[in-house]
Amino acid sequence: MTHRLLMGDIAPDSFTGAIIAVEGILDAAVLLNGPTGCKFYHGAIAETQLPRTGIMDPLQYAEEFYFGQPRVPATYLDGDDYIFGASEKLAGILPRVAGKGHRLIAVLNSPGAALIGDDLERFIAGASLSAPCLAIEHTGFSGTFSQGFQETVIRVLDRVAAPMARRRRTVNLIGTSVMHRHWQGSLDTLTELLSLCGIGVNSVLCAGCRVADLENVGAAEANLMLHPEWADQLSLYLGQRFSQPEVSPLSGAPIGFQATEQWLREVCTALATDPTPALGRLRASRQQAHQALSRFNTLTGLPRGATFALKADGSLALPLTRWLHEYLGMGPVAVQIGEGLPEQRRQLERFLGEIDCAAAWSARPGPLTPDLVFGGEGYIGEYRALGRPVAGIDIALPARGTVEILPRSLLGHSGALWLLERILNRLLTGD
Amino acid sequence: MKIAIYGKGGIGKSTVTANLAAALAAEGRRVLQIGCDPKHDSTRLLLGGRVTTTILDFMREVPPMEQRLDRILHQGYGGVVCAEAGGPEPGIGCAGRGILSAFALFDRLGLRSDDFDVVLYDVLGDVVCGGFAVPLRQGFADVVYIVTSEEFMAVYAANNILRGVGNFEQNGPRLAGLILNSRGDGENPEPVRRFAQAVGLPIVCHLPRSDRFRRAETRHQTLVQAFPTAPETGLFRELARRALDPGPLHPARPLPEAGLEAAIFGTGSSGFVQPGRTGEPRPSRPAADDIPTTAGLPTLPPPPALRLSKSMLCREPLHGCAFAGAIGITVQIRDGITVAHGPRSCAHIASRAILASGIHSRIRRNRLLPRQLAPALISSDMNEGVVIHGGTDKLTHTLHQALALRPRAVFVVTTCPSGVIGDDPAAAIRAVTTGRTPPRLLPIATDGNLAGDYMQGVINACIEGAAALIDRSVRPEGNRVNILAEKNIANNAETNFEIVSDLLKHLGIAVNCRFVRNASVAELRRFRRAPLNLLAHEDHFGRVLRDYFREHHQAVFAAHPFPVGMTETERWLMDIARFFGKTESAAALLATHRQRYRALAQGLRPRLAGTKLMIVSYGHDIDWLLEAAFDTGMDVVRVGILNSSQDDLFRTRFTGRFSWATGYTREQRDADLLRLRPDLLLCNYIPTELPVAVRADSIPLCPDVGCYSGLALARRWVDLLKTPLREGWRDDA
Repeated sequence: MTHRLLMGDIAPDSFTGAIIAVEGILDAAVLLNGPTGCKFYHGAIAETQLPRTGIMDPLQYAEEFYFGQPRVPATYLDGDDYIFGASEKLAGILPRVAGKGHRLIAVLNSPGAALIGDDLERFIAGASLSAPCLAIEHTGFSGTFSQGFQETVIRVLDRVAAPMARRRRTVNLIGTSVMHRHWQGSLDTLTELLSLCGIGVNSVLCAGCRVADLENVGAAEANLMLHPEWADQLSLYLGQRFSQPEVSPLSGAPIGFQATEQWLREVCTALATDPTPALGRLRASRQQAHQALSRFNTLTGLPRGATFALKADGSLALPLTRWLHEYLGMGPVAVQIGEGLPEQRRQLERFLGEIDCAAAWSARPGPLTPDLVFGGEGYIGEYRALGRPVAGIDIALPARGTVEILPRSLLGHSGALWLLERILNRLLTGD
Repeated sequence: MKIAIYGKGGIGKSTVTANLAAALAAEGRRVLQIGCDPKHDSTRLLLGGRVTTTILDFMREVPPMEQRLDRILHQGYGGVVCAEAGGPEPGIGCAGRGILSAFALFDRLGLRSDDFDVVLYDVLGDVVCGGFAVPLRQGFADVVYIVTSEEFMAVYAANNILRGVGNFEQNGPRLAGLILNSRGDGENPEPVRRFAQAVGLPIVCHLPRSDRFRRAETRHQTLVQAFPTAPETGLFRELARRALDPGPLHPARPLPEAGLEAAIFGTGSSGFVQPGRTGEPRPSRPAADDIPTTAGLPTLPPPPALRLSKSMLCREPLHGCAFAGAIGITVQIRDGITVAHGPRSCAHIASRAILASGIHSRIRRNRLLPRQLAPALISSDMNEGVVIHGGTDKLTHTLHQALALRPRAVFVVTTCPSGVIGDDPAAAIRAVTTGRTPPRLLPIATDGNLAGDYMQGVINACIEGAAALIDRSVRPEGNRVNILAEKNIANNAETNFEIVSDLLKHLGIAVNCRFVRNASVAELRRFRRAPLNLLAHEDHFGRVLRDYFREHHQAVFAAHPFPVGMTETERWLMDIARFFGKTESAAALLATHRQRYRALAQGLRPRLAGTKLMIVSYGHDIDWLLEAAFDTGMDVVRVGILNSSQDDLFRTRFTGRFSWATGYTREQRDADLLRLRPDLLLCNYIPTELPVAVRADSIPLCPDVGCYSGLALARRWVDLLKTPLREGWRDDA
């Protein structure tokens, strides 16, 4: 095998981020002015991550523009359209999609379509639709996923959100998306913990919310950043438009017990509430974990000394590395950040230096074989492609591809238990 | 001689070009004039005012297989052959893309500039984007003239055109000079003279304003035709003589914008800017002989037979894009790297499809496929600046990155944005080609979906990429076979290969090369060593590949594709055995399997005989399924074949034993279910909403190969028929 010719996973860019922002709203839809090559992937991923129907039969969606999928109808641009424009198709698709009863439609150009300059606003105006319709002519070329995501959320809020009377001790959760692994379970867990602290969730932007939630976004007392690298622009926008402060816990995202505890304390301090009830719930989970760890460790000596590689976004990478190292006694051999802020990178690099693992910083899959690999299956696959018999824990997309019915969380106390269960079982089975 | 004539819009380029063509024709030269302007009036005067179908309209209206050169080329005055690219309505679409498409059609239909003494390209206005720069690319214009008038904006445009020309001067200067077309009486030509002097170009022809132009146009004629003895005609005759022998050509030395006005109006002196945006010198280029020729009308071989995907052939909506299809093939070459030129989203989408098949193969089939888990794919990550200013430099940079990893071959695959802005991968390849023995650098025609759908990309990558590596000097030897047209994204591609390999191994036959799956460059080079070739699938793609290899490599193919079911396996293995003289071993092996098959089928018969079976399938060859059904005594009441982007030819050896329909729809299915009330319904995707309660089961799009595929399913049907007609969970919808 020619190892040097195996490559890393290619991350999604701002185009996908823009689509996912709208497809993350339960009653909104993307109408793609673009070829089916751009449609199929996004139609599939949107329906996988936020299912709206259990029906997979392509014959169910045989009508024009849908190509056998329930999501992301498209104008199926071809060679002629690039030369002559897609006027006819655009005029035909808008009423068809509007007829499905969406509360918001975003007409969005694919990267190629953005270059031919179809006047999307003209078609929207000409269609006289009752539902709000947004033209997004350009989503950037090779921008980051979070850029495309945040810019589109802002465009949506510009269109639907209005000033509202403030509701005390409520927050908007910002900086998460349906592309985050176990996003629904994580939100459920965090909502429960916040509720124990007397904090209500006003809206989750744009991950499983409805258009009505976004209309009310100005009612929250503050914006709580779950993953700051996904919310920096959005937080600025909301601050300026609705004078809402941001809450951005220094601990990063609440992954693992330590970070969750710190996260709860910081959030409650910012909102002047008492974290005790939520910390009690966390403590109960830690005791549950302790029992399992104690038995496992007695018989195997593990997880202490097990090694790991990890690739995650900035807000997850540091708290997870820290937790694996400090709580479980594991050692990092490679740690990479996907999307991240410069400060997150600095902190992680510094931490790895402090624990004498500086070589792990940004290390690509190489000669060392970690016991566990945390990341998307693309990252885990890199190790496997090198012939390394690693056990993978898919904390990012693409996931392992197995069926998941029980709700799972990556964040909060439930997330910590899920991770722990995975870690121990993978160390046992090696897969 | 190939000549491009540029100039600001409305400056009289078309009039000049048409008159030049007429003057050349009057000298007995064979002339081709191509109008590269959406207005499509370049050749009007040569055609007596006749309006012809433009190339782009023709492409829209005529199916690819019916497209012929003689329908877009028109003969005009003096035998001048005329063509108009055409383009979109003002304000919509992309005219530059149109020029690229028109030239691609010429290329495909085999237009040869060698058949003409002079080819004239009349190009719209400025070199505003990659499309309008096509005539400047290598292999097109040898000589460039710029038409200008005395007006400042015309000279300004001429200066911009010089910038464009400068970007394509890697193989030497091409400018012959300026043509001054005076726009009014008493205009002062001095500014143009000063500009010409400042940029180092001669004014090769000065056409005075003359009413004869208008009068000739009124007659729908060129001046040369209408007033053959007029002094202005004399100027065109002189220009024609000069065009045939332009003397030394000049480099492009555009003036910096800031100094242009001063230079023209004589109020100061200006420095020159070098070609390129930054003014930095360009890297030296290798000699043209070192460079693999990939594009350009003059060097093309006779037109190849069209190798179109089914969607392209039938002019259906395109399913997926050629870019992703091509990558699905090229990443299968073990020691190659694929460079994806475009925004990262394109490479991401293509790579995720590949990764998905890698993940599924591992989870569901326990097969580790490194090429699918970590494909050797680099994205050029085209950004905003690249889109605006052109991506050749970015692609060149990415190619250097790829070459640093020392691959045996590099494949360049392009996206829609790259195609729309008119990036030329061949230019980037030339830029990285060095004197030492290079790896093969192969561009593959994709441009996102501009070249076609996913399957078109698969075809193009096989033919332009993998097949280009084949060493034609290798001779067939030994008991070897090649395997072609495996489906790389099918979960069972690897297990199917293993089953087939085992059967072949039993006869002492080795696999020489998998075309194209998990193959090395060396294996592809030795492709011709196998005396016999085996198709994995005989669908549209398989048939295209077979035709190609028969035509270009005189390849011998087994009569049948990978076998599914007992009868097909017997037929397939015996064919191969006969070819290699191994019938005895094959017959012995098959006898064992046949005995076992019969016993299994007989065992299932009591439970399945008389059961009414209905099949709805995207697959167009389901004999394996029908065989299992008939051998176990089932009653096949209906077969509905759905439209598929993969195939369009339904075939069966069981004709007359069941009723079938192609182009089957959901409505037909529901009506048939109500009418026929089958006991069992088989589909690729199990429908959720059906008009009658029926036991439904799924059938694979790509079945497992071998003797027992159908029976394995039939065994499941026995159990299925014992289950309740409707499962409880369905009530919870």
